[in-house]
Amino acid sequence: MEDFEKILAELSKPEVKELKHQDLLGENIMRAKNRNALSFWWLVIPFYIIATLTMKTWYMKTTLKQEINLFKKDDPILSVLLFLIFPAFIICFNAFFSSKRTLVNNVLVIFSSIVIFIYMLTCYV
Amino acid sequence: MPEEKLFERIKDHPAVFSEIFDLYYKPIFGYILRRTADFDDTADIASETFFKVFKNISKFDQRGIPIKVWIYRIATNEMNLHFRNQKKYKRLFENNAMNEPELFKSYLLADRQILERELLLHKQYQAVVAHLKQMPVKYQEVIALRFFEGKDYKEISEILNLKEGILKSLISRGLEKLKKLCKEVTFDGRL
Repeated sequence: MEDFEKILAELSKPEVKELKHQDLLGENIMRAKNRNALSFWWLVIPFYIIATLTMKTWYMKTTLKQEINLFKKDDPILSVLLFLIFPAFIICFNAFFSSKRTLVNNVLVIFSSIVIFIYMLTCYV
Repeated sequence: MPEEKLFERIKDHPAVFSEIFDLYYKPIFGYILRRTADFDDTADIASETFFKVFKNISKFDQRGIPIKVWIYRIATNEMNLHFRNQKKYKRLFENNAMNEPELFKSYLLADRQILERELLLHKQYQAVVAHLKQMPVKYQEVIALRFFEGKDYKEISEILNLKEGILKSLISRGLEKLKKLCKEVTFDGRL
C-alpha cells in the first residue's frame, strides 16, 4: 500500500500556469452580484390589490370575479397595468435579463404568473 | 499581504475581493481541473465557486478557518454537487450579463486548448482520475486533496470538516479501492 501511496504522490500531474480569461471573469463576477432581479417588493402592489379585493368579496358577499370586473370597469387602464403588464414585465426581466437564477427570481416568476392567471380567469370564465 | 490584513481591508472595501480572486483563482482552478480532468466543467465550477465567495465574503468569520481553507471548501462542495449530478451550470459566458462575451469566449478557447494539451501529456494521471471518478465522492475528495494537491491531514480535515482519525480511515479505504481499480494502469512499470 505504501508503494501505491508513493506512486500517487509522485505521479506527474497537470499544472495551470496561466489563465487568459481570469481578469475578465473577475470583473464579471463583481458586476454579476449587482445585477439582480427586481426586488420582490414590486410584486406586493398587485398582490395587495388582489388581497383587498378578496377581503371586499368576503365582507360584501360578492365574488372575486365580480370585484375584479368592477375594478376593470372603474379603471381599465390601471387594472391592465397592474394585473397584466407589470407581472409580464417581471417575468420577462427575470427570465431574460437576470444574470443568475436564484430562488427569489423563480418565486417572482411564479407569483407573477399566478397574478396573470387570476386576471385572465376572471376575463374568460 | 498577510491574509488577516487583506480580510480587514475587504470588510471596508469589498472591491478588494479582486486581490483574493487574483491570489486564489489559479490554484483553485488547478485543483478543480485535476479532479474533474475536464476544462469546461472546471471553468463552470471555478466561476461558481468564486461567485459564492464574493457573495458571502462579508459573512465569513475569520476567527474560524483561514480564507484559503474556506475557498477550498466551497470548491470541494461545488465539485461534489457536480459529481452527484445535482447541479447543472449555465455557462457563465452564455449569460447576457457577461461583459465582452466574445472576448471572454476567445480567452476561454485559448485556455482550453492549452490545458487540454496539458491534460493529454499526463496520460497515467488521466487513467487514475478516470478510476477515481468511479468511486464514492467521499473517497475522491480525500485522495485528491492528499495526493494531487499535497495537503497535509490538518488542512484536509479543516477543508472537509472531518476529524483526522476519520480522514485517515477514509484515505486508507479509498486507496485500497483505488489500487484495485488501477490494476491495469502501468506506472512506469512498477504496477
